[in-house]
Amino acid sequence: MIRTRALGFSHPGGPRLRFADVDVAAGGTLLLRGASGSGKSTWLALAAGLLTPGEGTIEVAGQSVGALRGAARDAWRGATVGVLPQRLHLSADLSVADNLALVYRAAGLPVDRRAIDELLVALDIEALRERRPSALSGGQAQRVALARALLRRPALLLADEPTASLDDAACAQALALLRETVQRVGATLVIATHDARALAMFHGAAVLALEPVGVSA
Amino acid sequence: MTNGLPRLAWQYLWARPLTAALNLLLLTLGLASIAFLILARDQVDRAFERDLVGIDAVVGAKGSPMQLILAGVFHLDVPPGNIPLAEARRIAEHPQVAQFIPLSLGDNLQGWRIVGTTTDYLSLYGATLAHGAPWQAPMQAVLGDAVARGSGLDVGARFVGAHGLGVGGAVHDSTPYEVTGVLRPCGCVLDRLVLTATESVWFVHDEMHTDKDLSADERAELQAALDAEREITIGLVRYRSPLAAASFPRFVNSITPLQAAAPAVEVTRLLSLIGQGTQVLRALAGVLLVVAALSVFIALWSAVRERRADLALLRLLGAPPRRVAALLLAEAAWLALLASALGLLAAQGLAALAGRWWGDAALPTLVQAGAWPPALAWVPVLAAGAALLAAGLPALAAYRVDVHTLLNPRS
Repeated sequence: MIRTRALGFSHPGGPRLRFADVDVAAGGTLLLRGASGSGKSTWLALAAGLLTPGEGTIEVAGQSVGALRGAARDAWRGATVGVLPQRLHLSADLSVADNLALVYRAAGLPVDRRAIDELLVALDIEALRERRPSALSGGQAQRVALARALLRRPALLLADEPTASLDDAACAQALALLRETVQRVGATLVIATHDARALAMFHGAAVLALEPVGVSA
Repeated sequence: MTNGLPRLAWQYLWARPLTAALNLLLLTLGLASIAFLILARDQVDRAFERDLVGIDAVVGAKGSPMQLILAGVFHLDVPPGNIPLAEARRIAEHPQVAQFIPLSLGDNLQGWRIVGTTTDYLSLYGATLAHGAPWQAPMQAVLGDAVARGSGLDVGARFVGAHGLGVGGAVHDSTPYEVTGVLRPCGCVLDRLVLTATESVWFVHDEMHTDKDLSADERAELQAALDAEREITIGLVRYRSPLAAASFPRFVNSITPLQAAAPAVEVTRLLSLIGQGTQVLRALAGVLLVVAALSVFIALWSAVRERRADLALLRLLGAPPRRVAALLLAEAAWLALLASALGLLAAQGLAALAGRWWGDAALPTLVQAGAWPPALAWVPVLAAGAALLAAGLPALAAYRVDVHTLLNPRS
């Protein structure tokens, strides 16, 4: 499902990052470990097709991401990759339902109200559909962001530090929800984290340990 | 490409209702001013064109030719004076004159001018009667549509005129008119005139002088004197041949004590004067529009800055840069669309108010609501131009938004 070979990237004026090769099967889980600045976000951006590999290759669901260009890569990302950013970035101007509809509107697709309703029920947030993000608790907002990431049933879900600043109970709840929901849609999960609690929760998952920037250069 | 985008743009636009409403108001004000100017200018042009139909020259007392045209054709100004009937007959019999229609002014009915003339004046505008019949004798009158509606008079009613062309003159109590007909609305100057035989005007004014206690001999002597000094106010002339346009006015102006004015020339001069005023107003409306465009620009520019994360998120969700830029353009397009509709409605409302105000003042209703001249198509074009110009830079900024920053926790 995810296959990288000699993957590397250099930010303009920044250090050169090189990543170890990984192979993750469909439906599997990969944990990206590393301290802040070790390149976790860059790896996620490469997997999402937001950055083009400077060297090597990354394949997602059989597609070499670097081979895609422009709008084709945008369309591929919309259909194949779901992203749960660390800061959830729910649009403050839109209701929960409209935040979810954004997934379709961004891709130029008709809004699938049924899919939205089903996911709202599955994540137990159907009562929040008309609320603005400012009226949500942290956990509720994370569920909405997770629903947004999984709405189009992507093959790959990228979660960036999903447990940062959560207490133990909330962390366990968030990770359980993530695992359960991803399993339900059959997606491959990549979690970028430096949280030991996540490592314990996903015991047995593939791990890619990233070194601080500069060491691998 | 545009699937769902207009709706999303609408949601983002009204997420800040005060900013959106203020921008809409500014754009609407600029567009309404421009639309009203277009509407007014078009209707004034049409009114002049309509009232000038078939009139090649206007003959009257010496004075300002523009005044003569305004008084004789459009009934907007006071005439420069009267002309002797004998001189008028001389003009009418001139070989280059195909038709001469006399107009005698001097009295009014509640502000509407009473015009002594012949039924040729009705034919000139192709006027037909809604009911009743044309006058057959002096002191019978036909009312224009606006006069009939405004005065409430109908066939069979009697009324008296007042001296002068404005409201408030001495009333000719002893010489009442009888209404014999009411004209269908013609959309021309006849709508706001009271029409009667030329002799009616003479009769009314003869009575002013003869209603004293005179002997039969004195009365006969006075009548003979009055007959010898008969006058009309203005003559409308239609040429036999277009060639007369060169020589006839010269003949009248140099050989007779009268003056001849060419309506086409004077109206062109008048429209050019109006045009200069219109240019100033148009420039002011343009400034309003530029201010509105600047305001839209500032609002959209702030929106891009405030919504940088939202725009990046759209990219993350699969939107190509052009769709993100199109979202900003769609917001501007909504403003343009709404402002165009509101601007056109406001201009029509303003025209209706202007028509009512001028109508109440018994002046010609040159500007009225309900007209949609093709030039009004410029209003949405200008709106789209201003809004899209204002959205250009913000759209470019949206196009270039850095989506990678979304995955940076510090963003």
